[in-house]
Amino acid sequence: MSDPTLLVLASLAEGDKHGYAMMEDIEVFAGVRLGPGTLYGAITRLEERGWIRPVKSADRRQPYTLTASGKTHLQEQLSGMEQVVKIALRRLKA
Amino acid sequence: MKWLMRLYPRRWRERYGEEFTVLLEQANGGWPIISSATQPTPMYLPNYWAFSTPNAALAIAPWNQNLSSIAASKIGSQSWKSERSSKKNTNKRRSASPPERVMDAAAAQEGCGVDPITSGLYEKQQKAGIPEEAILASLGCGNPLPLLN
Repeated sequence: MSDPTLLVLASLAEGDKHGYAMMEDIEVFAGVRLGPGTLYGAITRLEERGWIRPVKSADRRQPYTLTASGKTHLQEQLSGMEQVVKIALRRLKA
Repeated sequence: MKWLMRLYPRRWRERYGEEFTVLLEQANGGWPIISSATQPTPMYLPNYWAFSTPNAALAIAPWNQNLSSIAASKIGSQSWKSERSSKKNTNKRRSASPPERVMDAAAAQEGCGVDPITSGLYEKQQKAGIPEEAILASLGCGNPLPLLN
């Protein structure tokens, strides 16, 4: 799972986060340090597709939240990946 | 910072410019290094000029707007091939202009393969969605964060 858009969705599945919090979270759970340009490229695409949306902020940092369609998309992607992982693990054991 | 943001499309800048600026400030405290597409040797610049993706590094290169077309036309050009075959002097290659260095990198097929220190700095996800010519143009040397680390 190294697609930045999926990593952002997975990060926001835990709760609303601004850009820097996403970078830190993704580094912890995925071991991937997204650069600011990569992160905002993903954020731009995800917002265009309606999978995330900005929420009100008290400071200059802009938090984002996962939308219902974003959750559905993430679920579908993870289910597909799970299937691949299961099959690959089974084949490795055979 | 306003100068830097002007290099991005206006629509994107108006929507994300402020928050992207804040992120850069947060992510790069102090004086990190930057290695632009035209400069394999890292330079010290203010924190908000630190980039970690090839597209961001290219954004500051004054010649980048026409780079893709230059690279594409040169790659397909027989005259370039004959020109390159005559380049056997490495010193001459080092002093080549940026587009010529792009072609050298393309020939090496490893982006920054010409430099053993700064080669292979970009992860796959950092290259996602970026034209191949742009990645080659960065020579693989535009990511300062791995260098800093």
